[in-house]
Amino acid sequence: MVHDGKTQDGLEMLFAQARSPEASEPSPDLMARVLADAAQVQAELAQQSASAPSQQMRKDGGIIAGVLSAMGGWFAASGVVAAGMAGLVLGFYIPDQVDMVLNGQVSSFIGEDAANLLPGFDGLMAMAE
Amino acid sequence: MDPALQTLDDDALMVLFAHGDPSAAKLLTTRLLPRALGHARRVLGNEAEAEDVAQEAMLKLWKAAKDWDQGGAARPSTWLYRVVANLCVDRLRKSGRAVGLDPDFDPADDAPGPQEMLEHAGRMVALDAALAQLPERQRQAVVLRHIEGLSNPEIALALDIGVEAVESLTARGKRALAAALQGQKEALGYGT
Repeated sequence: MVHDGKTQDGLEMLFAQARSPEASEPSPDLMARVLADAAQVQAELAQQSASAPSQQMRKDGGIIAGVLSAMGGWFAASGVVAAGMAGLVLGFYIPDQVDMVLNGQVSSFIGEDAANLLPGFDGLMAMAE
Repeated sequence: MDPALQTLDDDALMVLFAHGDPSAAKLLTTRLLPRALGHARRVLGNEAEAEDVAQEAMLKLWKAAKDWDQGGAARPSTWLYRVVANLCVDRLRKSGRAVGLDPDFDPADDAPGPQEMLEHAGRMVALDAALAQLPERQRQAVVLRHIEGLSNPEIALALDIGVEAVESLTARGKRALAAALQGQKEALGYGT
């Protein structure tokens, strides 16, 4: 069977017409039904997520693991811990005790770099672990 | 709608959908529902059935979103075409229309062929009538290739067949369509 070029061209034209957006435009009613189905499925997914947070937390290793992960892991967290420990030490060493430690050289203490009262970073890392 | 959302591909929108984003639902519907409907329309030849299939296919897509593999082999559109194809086959088999008419089959004298329908209807009806004469697999392949614009590998994924089988189906289907419409000058746009 011979198919002339005009038939092929005509067929291509029919295909092009069938491809036009108007040819497959959904009705507003169909759009609404599909979107209603979508909303229903999303509501079900949200309900499933809301009822399973504890399982998710245990699966991930607990709250602490989640917090550390948010902070960037133990390495990043150790800086925060160090700062916190420094504050604790400064608060712990009240002036009388400091004077005693430094053999009464309070005036010297006043001029002392407060950082010298802080435990070393390595010590804090050891405490944090 | 956030313009940034419209730059996302369908895979990313599926993930957003699963996280409850209503705009993702609307954008996916706008992009994909016409494709599902167009495919179903051409294969089933019935508007009401096509709408049912399109809605059912989109519902399956929504339910698949929570486990969607963003880096997977199939894009949402290809996945959807496969679902539509399978749903169409189910419907056609239930109604006994799965095979379609053999291209060499002579319709009964009182059955309207494409030429007769052409006298009373537009070009798209003539195309649909010719498509209805194709066996189901050829019909699906021709619709997906020449109307929906899928590549042969994408059609292979949608119909779950090899690429060579797609090439064979589309070639035979297109020849059968041309045979059915040959001589229909008005339908093919070069009439007097």
